[in-house]
Amino acid sequence: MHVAASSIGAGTPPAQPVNQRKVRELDQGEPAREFRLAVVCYGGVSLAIYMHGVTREIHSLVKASAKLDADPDRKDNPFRPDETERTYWQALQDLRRDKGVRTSVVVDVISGTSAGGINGVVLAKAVARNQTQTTCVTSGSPTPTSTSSCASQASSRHRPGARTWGSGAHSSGCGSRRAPSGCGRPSMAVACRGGCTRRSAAWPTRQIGTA
Amino acid sequence: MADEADWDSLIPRGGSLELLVTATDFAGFRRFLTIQGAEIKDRTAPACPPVPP
Repeated sequence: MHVAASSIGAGTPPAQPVNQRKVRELDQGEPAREFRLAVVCYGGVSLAIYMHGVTREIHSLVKASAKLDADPDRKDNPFRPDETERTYWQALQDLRRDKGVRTSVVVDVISGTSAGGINGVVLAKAVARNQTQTTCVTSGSPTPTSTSSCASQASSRHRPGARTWGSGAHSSGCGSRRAPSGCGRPSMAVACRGGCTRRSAAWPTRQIGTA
Repeated sequence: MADEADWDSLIPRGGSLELLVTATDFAGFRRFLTIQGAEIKDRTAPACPPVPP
């Protein structure tokens, strides 16, 4: 698993064109910088299991940062002692006090392959909806329990364009004869769990490769 | 499903999150999504080819 980071904002000259809107938002009030993370999740089941712990911590860091951004002058830690967000919030608060610059941590890019893709999707959904990663796996769009149900939901026509989480941003491209490989609706791979872990007659028989 | 007005996201307002998911062992599954607030834009390219019957 790779995590790359770049920062923009106070005291850091941008190395590339900067999202001016974000910089303006950060510059309102106290000095601030944005710390952007790019996460690459490898494939492989056992790797994905350990990487899930990493993605959960990245999510906790982003949550703590968002809480600090919402109320920078708060003195007491808003998180419970058993939450790792508490440590991250305190670390960011200490950094702000020591350096005089508030650091805002955001996940900018997520890439995931195979089992790492599941981690990537779960992290993306948790960040987008501000939910726990556990909640993201068990809520939202109805989860198909078999390949056939997954395929039947994928049988409707592909409609390009914007979609929303949970409103048809559902699994597809996973088993339908009508949808070619990887060509379905914008997909939540998480919704495919259970339904796509085994091949069925509806799947293409050619082996494209392994991830 | 939250409306855009009360969207509570960790993605900065006005920002976006790029998500690339590939799983070639799952029939060449590949998606490139841009998540902006409550919306997901599928930017997977090229366009899906037609499937012979």
